[in-house]
Amino acid sequence: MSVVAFDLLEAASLSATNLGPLWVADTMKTKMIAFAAALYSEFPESAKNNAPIANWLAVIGAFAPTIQDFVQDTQGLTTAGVNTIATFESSCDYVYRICKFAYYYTLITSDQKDAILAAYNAQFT
Amino acid sequence: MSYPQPDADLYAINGYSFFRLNTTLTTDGDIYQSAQGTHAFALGPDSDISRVAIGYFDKQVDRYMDQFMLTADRPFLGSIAAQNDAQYAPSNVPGRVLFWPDELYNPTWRPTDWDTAEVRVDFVAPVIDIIQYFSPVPVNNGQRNNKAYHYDRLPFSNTIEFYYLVIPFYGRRYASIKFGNQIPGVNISGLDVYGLNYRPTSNPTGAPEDSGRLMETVPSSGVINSGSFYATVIKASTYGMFDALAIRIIPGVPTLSVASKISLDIITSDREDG
Repeated sequence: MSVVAFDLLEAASLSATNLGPLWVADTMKTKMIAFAAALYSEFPESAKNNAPIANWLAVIGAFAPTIQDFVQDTQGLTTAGVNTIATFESSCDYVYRICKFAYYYTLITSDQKDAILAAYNAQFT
Repeated sequence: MSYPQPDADLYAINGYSFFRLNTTLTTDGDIYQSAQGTHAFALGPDSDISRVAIGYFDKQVDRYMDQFMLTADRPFLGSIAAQNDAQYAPSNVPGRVLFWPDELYNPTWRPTDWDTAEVRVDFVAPVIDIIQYFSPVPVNNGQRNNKAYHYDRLPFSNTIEFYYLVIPFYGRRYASIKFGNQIPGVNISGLDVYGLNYRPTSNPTGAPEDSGRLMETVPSSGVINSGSFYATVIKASTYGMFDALAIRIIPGVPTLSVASKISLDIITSDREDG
C-alpha cells in the first residue's frame, strides 16, 4: 500500500514502500520514466545550481527504461525477469537519493523542491 | 560538502595532473560532476566511502550513460572522455562524468534505547575522497589509509545514561578500540560495540530502530575500573562488514561531565591485520 509523502525526506524513506507495489504491478518502469520526465524542465542547465538534481535526473532517465518486469526468473535467460530484483533495488536507491539530496540542498527554490515532491506523489503513490 | 562543488576545470587549467574531491558527505544523496576527461579514477587515501558509482558518456550504450563501481580494492585505469558537447538521453544533460557514493549514511539513526534526555548520539560524518587523473600515471595502489580517532573528552553530562559515538566503517575489515578511564575513584559501567548497516527506509524522524549487531562488550565481566584501560578488536572475518560502528559507553554514574578524564582511541583499517 502506497503512502503519500509530506516532504522529501519522508519521500526518500518511503521509496521502497511506494515502489514495491508498482514493481509487482509491472508499472514501475513507466512511473520512473514519467517521474524523471516531469522534472527535466524544472532543472535547466542554464542555472548552475540545478546541476546536482539534473545529474540525478540524467541517471534516473538513462536507467529507468532498463527496469525489468516483476516476473520471476527461473530460466536463467528469460528476457523479462533477469535482474528484476536488482533493477527494483536500483530504482529505490535512486529515488531515495534524489529525494534526500533535494531535501537538504539549499541552492534550489522551494518551488523546485515542491515540484519533485509533487512528481513523486503523482507517480509513486 | 557545501555546494556548489569545486570545479574540476580549474585544476586542469592551472596545470594540476589531477582533480581531487575530498569532502565530508552532506547526505548520501550527494552527487558530483566533472567536465574533464580522465585517464584514471581512484579512491583517495582519506576516503571513508569505499564504493563510488561513476557514470560517464558512452555513445555505444543505450541513452549514452555507462557506469562502473570504483572501490577501495583497485583504481580504474582507462581514459574516459567527458563529452560536454553531447548529451545523455532523454534528460539532455551534457555528457560530463558523474560520481556519487554507493553507500548510505544516515545520521538520523537512533538506537533502540533512544531517549532524548538521557541518550546522546554523535556521528563522525564520512569523507568521500576521489581522485581523477588528467594524464597517464601509474596507479598501483588503491588502498585507503588507516583512520585514527582520538578523543580525550567525551560530551557527558549528569543526565546522559548512554552515550553513542558512530564512526564510518564502510568496507573496513578491522577496528582497534581502546577505552581509558582516568577518572579518580570512579568506575565506568561498560562499553559496547555495535555494527550498523544503514537502510534507505530509516526513519527520518529519528525514531529508534535497529541497534545493529552487538559485537563486543567490554568488559564482559563488569565495570571499567578507575585507572584502567580496556581494549578490543573487531575483525570482519568474525563479525561481517558494516557501514558504521556505534560505540556505546554506559557511564553508570551521575557525576560525569565533559571534563571527565576518559579517553577513546579507535583505529580502522582495510586490512584485517591492521
